[in-house]
Amino acid sequence: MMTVGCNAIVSCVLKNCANLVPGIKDKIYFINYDCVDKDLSTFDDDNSLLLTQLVLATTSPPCYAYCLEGYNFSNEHTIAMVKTKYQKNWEHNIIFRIFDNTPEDKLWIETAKDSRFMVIIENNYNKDLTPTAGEVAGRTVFEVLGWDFGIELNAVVRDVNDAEMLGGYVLTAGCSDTMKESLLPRTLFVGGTIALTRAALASLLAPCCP
Amino acid sequence: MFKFKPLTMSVSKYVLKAGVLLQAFSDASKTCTNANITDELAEYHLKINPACARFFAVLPGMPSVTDSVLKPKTGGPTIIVPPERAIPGIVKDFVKASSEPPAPTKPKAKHFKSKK
Repeated sequence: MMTVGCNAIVSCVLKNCANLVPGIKDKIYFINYDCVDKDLSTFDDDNSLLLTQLVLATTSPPCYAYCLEGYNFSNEHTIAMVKTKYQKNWEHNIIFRIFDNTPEDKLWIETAKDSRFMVIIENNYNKDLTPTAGEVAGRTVFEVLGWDFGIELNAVVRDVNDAEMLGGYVLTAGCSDTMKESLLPRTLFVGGTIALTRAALASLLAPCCP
Repeated sequence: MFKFKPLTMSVSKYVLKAGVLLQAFSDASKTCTNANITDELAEYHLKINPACARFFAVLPGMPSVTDSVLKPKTGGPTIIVPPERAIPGIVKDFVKASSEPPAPTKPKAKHFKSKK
């Protein structure tokens, strides 16, 4: 079959009778971009959006996934397709909030400001909690933002008179102004089950992560 | 916001790289991360699949992962995978490269002040 572009639709999207659940969990995970060992990380053979193993580089000081805990659904995530004249790419965005103003929090923000990082988010939506034949639960839960280039802090706002934030920080991270992601956020699903995915994620975590 | 907790890991001579999960088909008891790794589990996986040595951060008999190992001052390559467990050919090249003396550097040209 001749195709006009570089791809062609080869499968169907059927109705989903599972109840969609919006939002992401309050805990998100930051990994410095250079810490990810892309040579050892693996994808599904048939689907490059399915990350089946995320491996960190062995360095000194050691690489970790650092967590950030929000509160009461304070983390938000959006994706948008970016269409340019010839190409279509993806903008990965995450908005998160820090409800504090300690020197340690300020230092974290300063270091994040000058960093590029990937973010692992945990969706509230976990399709197929009672898996039927051939379906596996947990494949809609974890996603990795910024696999290609990493994302960066694009805005930090602290309004001490804000009635909602009460002087906390609102931070917006997303793609670079010029370089957008080539694909949607990668699904992280390790070992074929959500339990093994959580075990693999646990092995990434920094000691400071509860 | 900043809390510290002790790491709870099994005591083993082997350490996997962060994020690695080793599995054996049809045997869930052999599934292994750094949280449950034992010498027996690690040696089982290395035996059935020697290529998985690349997923280990520490293997017995090799230098531990320290700053000096990962960032050699000489600039030469670092070998973490033991030669007998790694893919033949690749390690051979590494060993050869690491045993070669560093290339001589050109002496810096002396800067002379121009006579006025």
